Amino acid sequence: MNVFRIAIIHIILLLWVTTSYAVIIPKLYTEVGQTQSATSPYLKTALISDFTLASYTFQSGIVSNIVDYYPSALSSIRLLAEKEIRVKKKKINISTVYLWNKPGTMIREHNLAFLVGTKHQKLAAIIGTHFRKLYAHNNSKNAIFENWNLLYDVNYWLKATPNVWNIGIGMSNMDYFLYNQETNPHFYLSSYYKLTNALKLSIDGRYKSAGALNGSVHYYGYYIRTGISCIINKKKSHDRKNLTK
Amino acid sequence: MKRIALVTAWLILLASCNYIDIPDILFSPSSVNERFKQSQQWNESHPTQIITTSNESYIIMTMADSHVGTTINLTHFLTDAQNRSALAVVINGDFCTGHAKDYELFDTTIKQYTTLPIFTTVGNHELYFDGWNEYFTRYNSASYYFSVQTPTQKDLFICLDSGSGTLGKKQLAWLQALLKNNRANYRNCLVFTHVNLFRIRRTGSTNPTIEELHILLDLFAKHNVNMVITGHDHEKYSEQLGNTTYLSVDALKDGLPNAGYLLLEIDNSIRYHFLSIAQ
Repeated sequence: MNVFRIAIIHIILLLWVTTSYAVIIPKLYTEVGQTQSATSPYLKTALISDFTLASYTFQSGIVSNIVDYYPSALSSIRLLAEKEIRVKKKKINISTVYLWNKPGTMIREHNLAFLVGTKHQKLAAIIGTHFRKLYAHNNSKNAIFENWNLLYDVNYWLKATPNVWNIGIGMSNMDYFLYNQETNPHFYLSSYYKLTNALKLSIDGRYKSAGALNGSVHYYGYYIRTGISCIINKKKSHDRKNLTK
Repeated sequence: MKRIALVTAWLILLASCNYIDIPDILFSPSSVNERFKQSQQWNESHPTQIITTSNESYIIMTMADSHVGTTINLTHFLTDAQNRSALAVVINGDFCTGHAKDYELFDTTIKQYTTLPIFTTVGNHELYFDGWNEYFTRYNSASYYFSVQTPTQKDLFICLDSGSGTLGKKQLAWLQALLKNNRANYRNCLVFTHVNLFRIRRTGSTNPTIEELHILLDLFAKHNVNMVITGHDHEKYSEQLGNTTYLSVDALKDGLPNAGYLLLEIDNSIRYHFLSIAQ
């Protein structure tokens, strides 16, 4: 896997959509956390960009591990393709996600996930399945595959969305750049505040558990994530230009 | 929904049978970092065990998940190890239910094999019903290493406490330092820990979080660990990642149709054989 090739694709995609009709939502976040796998807190930052065109959304994301077990300028890449469909007036999002991780000097990880999600005013749920390939970069022949992992994310918002501000709780075994096995849930608190129609601030906190049910389960870690996202609606500005012609 | 209902019914049934401790499966009663501290305090005042052999090739045998209770399969395993002149036996967690009476029964059984060096580590079940104190009183340490000295070579065996689903930050730092400072002095390096690392099949058994797994796999690959042996899932697997072999053993629990254990033939290479009680 050529990491730079993926990064270049990300940049080209960004440039392409900025000159097209898409709605672009870039999001930048910083995450500070602590886990049982590190003696000191970790710090990472990520850029995730959504490009929405009609009922399709394409998302790309990259992460830099600034302080971590393995600091790296580019430690993860995420690519998502999503289609919104309607079933009996209900919006359902079907998505495919590819995720690449470089968690250490030796180990690499490919992930492929298929997800179905829906929202109902205050409640949002995603369910899906996931395939993982773990391998050592110097010996990729001997890889380990985990197939058909169950993925889930359920959250409940205090206010019916969309609202100027909101706060919600949830449980999930996935994150932007991480797919856990189904027995390793995260419990989270999410919140956001819309500064303007286009600009949104968010703060999320997660509690991570080292397993569930058939272990003698221990606390694993937590993180606090602050993010900022903005909506760049190229379609509206393009339409305005056409009207004035 | 059907699956959730089945799991819930199964948990209620097990709890009513006094087999699992419901509060303990939700939150570990003892901190893994505190357990590691106690283990290290004991290790510091006792020398690391070195087993010497006059042969270049030797046998180590290992099992997990006997869940004593009853000791039919455990006795079979220990007798087989003794008959094969195994150099040592590693009991890789969940050897009892956590109840004091089961610790006592297990202890009485293994003490009958006086010529067999027996090493234990802790699984989640040993921690139930406030079991850590029983474990620590009887076996002193759940995180340690021992070595085998042949006429020309030395091999390293590391036992880790993963009974709470994580090694914890102190034990992980110790493991990192141990591999960094000592791995090069040994020919082979084998790691024993209870919780299975991978989810090769559809299973409800808990794995370490993917973040911890990433670090462990990287560490084992970087330091050329030959073999990592686990239990917990009750069904054997063998996987290869880079140069490291990952094995999980069948449960040894009485009454299970697939009950079994593992035999390791060690010299310049390591050959493994899954042995079934039914054979």
